[in-house]
Amino acid sequence: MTERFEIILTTDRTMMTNHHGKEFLGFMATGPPIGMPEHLWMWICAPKVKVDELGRPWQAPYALRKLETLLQDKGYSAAVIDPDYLHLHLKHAKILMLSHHDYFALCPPSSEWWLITKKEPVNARSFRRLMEKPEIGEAKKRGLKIIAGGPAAWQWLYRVNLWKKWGIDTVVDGEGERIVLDLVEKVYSGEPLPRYIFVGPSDVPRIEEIPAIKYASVNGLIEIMRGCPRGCRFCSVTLRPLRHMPLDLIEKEIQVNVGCGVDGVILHSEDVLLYGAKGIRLNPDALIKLHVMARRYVGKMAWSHASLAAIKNAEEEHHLISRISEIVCGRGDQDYWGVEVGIETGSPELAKKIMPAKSAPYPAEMWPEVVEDAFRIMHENGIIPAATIILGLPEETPDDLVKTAELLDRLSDYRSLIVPMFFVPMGVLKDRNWFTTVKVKDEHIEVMRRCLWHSLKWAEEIIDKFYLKGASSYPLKLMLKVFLRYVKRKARSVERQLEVELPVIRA
Amino acid sequence: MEGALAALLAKEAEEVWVLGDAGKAMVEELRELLIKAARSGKKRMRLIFYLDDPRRLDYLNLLRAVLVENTSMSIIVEEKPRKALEHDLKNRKERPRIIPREVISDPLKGVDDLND
Repeated sequence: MTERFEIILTTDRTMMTNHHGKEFLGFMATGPPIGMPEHLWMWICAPKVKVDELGRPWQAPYALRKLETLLQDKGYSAAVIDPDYLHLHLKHAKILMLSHHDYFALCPPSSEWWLITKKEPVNARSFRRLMEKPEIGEAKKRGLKIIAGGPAAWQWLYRVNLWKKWGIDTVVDGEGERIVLDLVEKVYSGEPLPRYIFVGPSDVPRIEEIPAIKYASVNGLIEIMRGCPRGCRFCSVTLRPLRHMPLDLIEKEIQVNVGCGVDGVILHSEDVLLYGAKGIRLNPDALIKLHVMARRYVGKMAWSHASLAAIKNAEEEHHLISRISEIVCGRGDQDYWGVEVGIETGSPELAKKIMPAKSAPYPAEMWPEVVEDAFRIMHENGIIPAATIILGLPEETPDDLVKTAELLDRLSDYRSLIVPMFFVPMGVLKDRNWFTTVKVKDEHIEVMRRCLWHSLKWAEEIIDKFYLKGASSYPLKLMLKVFLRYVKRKARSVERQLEVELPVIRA
Repeated sequence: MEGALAALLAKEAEEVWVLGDAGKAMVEELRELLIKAARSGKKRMRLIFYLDDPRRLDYLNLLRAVLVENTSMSIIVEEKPRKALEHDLKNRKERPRIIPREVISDPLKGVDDLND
C-alpha cells in the first residue's frame, strides 16, 4: 500500500519551485503576467519541481523543511508535498501546514507591481488556486485542520474573509519551532486550536532547538543567522533576537543538499557579513571559515542579503570582499555571485530617522557615500546586487526623494538591479498606514523611472554575460529578452503619456 | 522543546477575557491593556474571546489594529462560545481580567445579566 502522510506541509507553485536553479527569477512571481500568458510567465519564474512517487518535491522551501524535520523527529507521519500531489494524501491527513513569503501579494515588491499594473501578481493568484483545490475543501469537511505560518503570516489579518472562507484554523506569526509541536499535539488529542499566535522575542527557539533539514531546500538555501542587530524601524527581522548558526550545523545542511543533488548554496542571513560578528563588529575569521567550508562542497555560491555598510567596512578594514571573492570565484567555475541589498533611501536625514544603525560603523550622515562605495566594491569583486529602495516611508519628504534620485544617478556605472518598493508597515512601523493608500507624488514617479532605466540598462548584460550563459539557458534567455523589450517599449509609452516633467529633480 | 504554547496557555501569560463581539470601545480597552502589559515587562498575553458565534471571525478585523501594534509580547488569541463563560468562571480560582469592564463588574452576576 502506498505511504500516506498525516501531516502535510505545502505551499503554492510560486514557492514550491527552484526557479530553474536561478533564484532571482523567483522575483518574477511577485508580478502579474505582463506581455505574455500567465502559464508562460509561471514557467519562467516557477517551473514544476521534480517529485517522487509520493509527491515529495526534490527541493522545497527551507522553512517547510525545518518543520518537516521537527515533526518527523517527534515520530509524526509528516512530509512536504508538492501542491499538485495533495490529493494523494489529503483523504487521510489530519493537518495541512502552509507557509509563504507573500500569500496575498501585500509585501513589496508585489504590492507595487499590483498598484502600477492594476493586476494581481501571480504569487497571490497561485496561492488562491491552491486554496481552492477541491481536495482541500473536501478534506476540510472531513475535519482537516489548517495551520498557516511563514514570513507572510501577518497578511491573514488583512484578509480575514479568506481566513474564514478557506477554513484556516490557526495562523502562527513568527518563528514556529517551539509552537508547532504543541499545536499538532492539540489536534491529535482533539483539543481546540487557538485562532492566532504571535511568537514574541521570548518564545523564539534557541539554537539547539533548531534542527538540521533532512531533504533539499530550494537552490540550497541555508540559514546562517536569525535576527539582525541593526534595528531598522521598517523591518520585522530586527525584532527577533540575534542567533548565529554553528558552522557544523551549516555544514551538515550543505551536505544534505549536496547529497540530494543540489550543487549550490545560498547563505541566508539578513546580513551575511555579520556571521560570527559581535554586534556589528565583523569577524573575518568566521566569515573566511564559512566560505572556505561551503566552497569545498558546492559549485555555486550566493548570499541572500548583505548590508552595504558591512560590505564597505569588510573591504576597507579587512580586504574581506576581495578575499571572499577569491574563495568564491578563484576556482574558475563561478564568475559572480548575487545578493540582495537595501539602499532604501538616498537621504541621510531620512536614514537617520528610520535606520540609524544601517550605516554603522559609519555615521548615518555618510549613508549615500556608504551606498556608493559598497556598489563600487561589489562591482569590482564580481558581486551583482539586487537593491531595494523604499518609497513612502513615514516622515519622507520630497527633498528626501530628490536625494534618492541623485544617488541613483551616481550608481549608474555599477552593475546592479535596483527595485523601488512601496512602504509596507512591518517592524516597529507595522501599525502605520499603508503607503499604497497615499497619493503617489511626482518625485516618487521620478525615482521609479530612474530605477527602471538603471535596471533595464544592466539587465541585458547580466543575462548575457553572467546569469544565463550557455546553450541550455537559451529559451529562458530569449523569453526574458522579449520581456525586457516589451517593458522598454511600454515604459516609453507610459512616459509619453505622463509627460513626466520634474524640473526640481532634473536640475 | 515543548512548552512554549503551554506557557502561553498557562499562568505565564497575562490573561484577558473578552465578552461578546468586539466593538471599537473594546478594542481601545484592549489596546490600553496591551500597552500597559508591554510596559510592565510582560512577555505573553492570552486573549480569549467569548463569542455568540465563534465561527464568525469578524472581530479579527477590529483586533488587527491591536495586534499589529505589538512587537514585544507573544500573543495568543482563542475563541470560545459565550455559553462556556459561566463554566470557565466557576472553574477558576482567581478572577480573570474581563473586558468590557462596564458590562461586568461582578463576573458571575454579569453572566446572568448577559444571558437575560
